[in-house]
Amino acid sequence: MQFEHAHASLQSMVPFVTLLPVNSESDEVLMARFCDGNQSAFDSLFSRHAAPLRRYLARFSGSIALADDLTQAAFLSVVRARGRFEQGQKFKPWLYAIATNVAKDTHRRRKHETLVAEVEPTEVGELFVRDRGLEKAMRTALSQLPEAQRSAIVMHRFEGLSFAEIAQAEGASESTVKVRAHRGYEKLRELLRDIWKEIAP
Amino acid sequence: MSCQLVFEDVNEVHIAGCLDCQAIANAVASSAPNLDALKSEALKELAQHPKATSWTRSALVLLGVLLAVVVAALLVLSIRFEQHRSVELRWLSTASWLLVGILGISSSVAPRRLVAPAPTSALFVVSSLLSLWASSGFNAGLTGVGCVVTDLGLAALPLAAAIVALRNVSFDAARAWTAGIGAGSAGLVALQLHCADGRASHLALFHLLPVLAVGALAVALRRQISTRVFAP
Repeated sequence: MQFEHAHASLQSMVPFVTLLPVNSESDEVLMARFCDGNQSAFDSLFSRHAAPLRRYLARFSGSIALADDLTQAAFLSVVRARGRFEQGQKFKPWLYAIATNVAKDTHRRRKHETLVAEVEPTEVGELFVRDRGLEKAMRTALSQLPEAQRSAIVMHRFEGLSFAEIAQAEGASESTVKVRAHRGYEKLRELLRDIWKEIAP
Repeated sequence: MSCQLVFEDVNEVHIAGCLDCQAIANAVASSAPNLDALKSEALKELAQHPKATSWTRSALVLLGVLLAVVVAALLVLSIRFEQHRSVELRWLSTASWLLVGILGISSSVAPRRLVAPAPTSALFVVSSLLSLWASSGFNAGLTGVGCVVTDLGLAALPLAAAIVALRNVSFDAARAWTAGIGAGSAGLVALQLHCADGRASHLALFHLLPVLAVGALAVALRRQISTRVFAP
């Protein structure tokens, strides 16, 4: 019972904890090896980043089903564009830049489709009492943010990227990203204000 | 919702004990997927193309197309000397347009930090001013239609090549604009040596304006076509 509770606690923290990679080589070393034709390096990069990236894309797009397609497209782009990866560049912001571009492109092409609140209930933290109303409100609020603000918030707040890394991924200055995140948080607060008033004791 | 820290930088310990923060985190959290299934396309691609290709190869191809078009145009079109005030200005103006073409087209496929929309646009302005300043004012009595057709015709091939190459990077209007200005300059290099009209109005309307039109066309075309690779 105690074990189950501990396991559940750990599961609930998954979105926030970067698990230590089994392969101790840095992403950049793996990427260099991958560019030299080593497929196992790609496998290591995939197993290290696929789950967090899929989670990021689910949050960004608001759709789990779409997140699978986007993750697949993002890693396909990583393979196709590996010759564009420059020495000295950090891998994670590059990967998230690709993922964000995939999501934005897909969103642009599916403008008429609703990408909001398609996310199904999940296993994460299922053993805890969950505030599904707030979760749904949060998803809807996130989907209403402009893309640039949403990506800054999701990468920073949920995926733990630093502002410097987000700036690299977005091709913007660090201060611009901070402003975007700040404005995004302001807007989120505004969007959630009614719910906040309703639920707060 | 009672936690006032839901939008703050809270640590994992706080989240583990806070239902509000967990709710925010779980808002769109996902169940464990079969991740290996998401790798199949990438592995297939890797099997088909085991060697990485540098972006410089794309840039060199585009540069080759641009220079081939310019050389072919110079071989086919007659050379006239009336457009400029002096031979030196004529060559200077031609060289500056060639530079716009080379910079624009080759940087358009570079990694994001090397794309040069601002330098290309600045060089376009400088070259335009140089062309106008170097013009002789000679009235060859041309309607200008021929110049526009030549300019756009010579830009077509480099533009098409650039649009195809730009499918291999994520959509970026600045990139497409840079490629368009570069492609449009191919025609202008040829017109520097071929067109006899040296009136400023002729040069502005029938030489420079079409280059801007090619830049705008490049953005519109790139927006329409699908992206193959989403790298920055």
